[in-house]
Amino acid sequence: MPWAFKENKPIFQQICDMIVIRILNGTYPMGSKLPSVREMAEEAGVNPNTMQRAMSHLEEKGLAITNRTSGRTVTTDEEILKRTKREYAVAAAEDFLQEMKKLGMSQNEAVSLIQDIGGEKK
Amino acid sequence: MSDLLSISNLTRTYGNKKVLDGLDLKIGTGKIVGLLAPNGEGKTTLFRLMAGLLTKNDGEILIDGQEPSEITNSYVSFLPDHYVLGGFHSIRGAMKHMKKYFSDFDEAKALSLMKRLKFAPNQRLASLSKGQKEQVQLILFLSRKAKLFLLDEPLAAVDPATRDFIVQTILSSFGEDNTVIISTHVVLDIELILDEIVMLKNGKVHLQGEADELRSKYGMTINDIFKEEFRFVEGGSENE
Repeated sequence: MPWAFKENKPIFQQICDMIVIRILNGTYPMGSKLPSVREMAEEAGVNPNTMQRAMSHLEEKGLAITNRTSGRTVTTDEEILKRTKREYAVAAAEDFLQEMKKLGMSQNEAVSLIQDIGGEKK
Repeated sequence: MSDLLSISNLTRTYGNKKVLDGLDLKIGTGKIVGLLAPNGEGKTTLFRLMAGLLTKNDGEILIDGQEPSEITNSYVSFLPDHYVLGGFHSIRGAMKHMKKYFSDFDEAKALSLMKRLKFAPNQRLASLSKGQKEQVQLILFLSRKAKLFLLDEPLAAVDPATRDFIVQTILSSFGEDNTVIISTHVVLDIELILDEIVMLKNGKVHLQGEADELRSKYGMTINDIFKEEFRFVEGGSENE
């Protein structure tokens, strides 16, 4: 997954979101070691200070943990991961419903649309 | 903590024109700063004053507590916006010169960057294209372990692939113990690596702030803020 930025939103916030998604989808599995700030900044082509800020934010949220011996790792707290996943899923769902509303669709219509599409995909 | 760069009331005139008119600016260590302004707003003048290549009419410049001099030149790496290696025969010759004059020159780093861009040390500089010459120059000036890098329009004439290489090289030279100031009027290319923005207008600092804070405050890209701020500049900015 490439690092792609919308530049009108704080870059640090976007980096956080991208790392959270990588954690939730298993690119950075639970308990695994995260790459160094410098490595990630160079890979993403962003300022290392911005990357550092994003990492600190993830630590505050309990998603990443720094310990002296093994560097920075992804949390092993399933509760936090579950809660975060729900938070991001709710936000995505709200965005979707907002878009549907713009198209003049009711919530029920939107929900059945998802079920229809989901059924086709199976 | 004292600032790495502390400028107060800096004034420089050319004839009747005050290019810098009582400029105040403080910048700390460990930052990549974008010095943004349309052409003709004094970016190069400011850099040349910091590098000790021009004399000021008034005010003060302190870099790590020192006025620009031989002392500051030992820890300030100034990359000019034009080619200055004309006097050297080969890449190796230019490297020898850097090694002789700058004790912080990291030859191994320069060689490894040259290799990545497929330059050989014995290559004749005259055989290189304009863009390649600028790349060689950039590599040499970024291969110093300087406290302060002043890069004057480093991305003015490069293709997109080289642009990425240059951005990576800038990031690789940057650390907690130094600061990189990049002047440009093409903001979009480097927006993501900047953590602080300084915009010059009418010989003064028009706006200074953290890049992400400015994005939040204005709800725009730095590039758009730049266009907005300079829309009515006489003569027009080249981005319009």
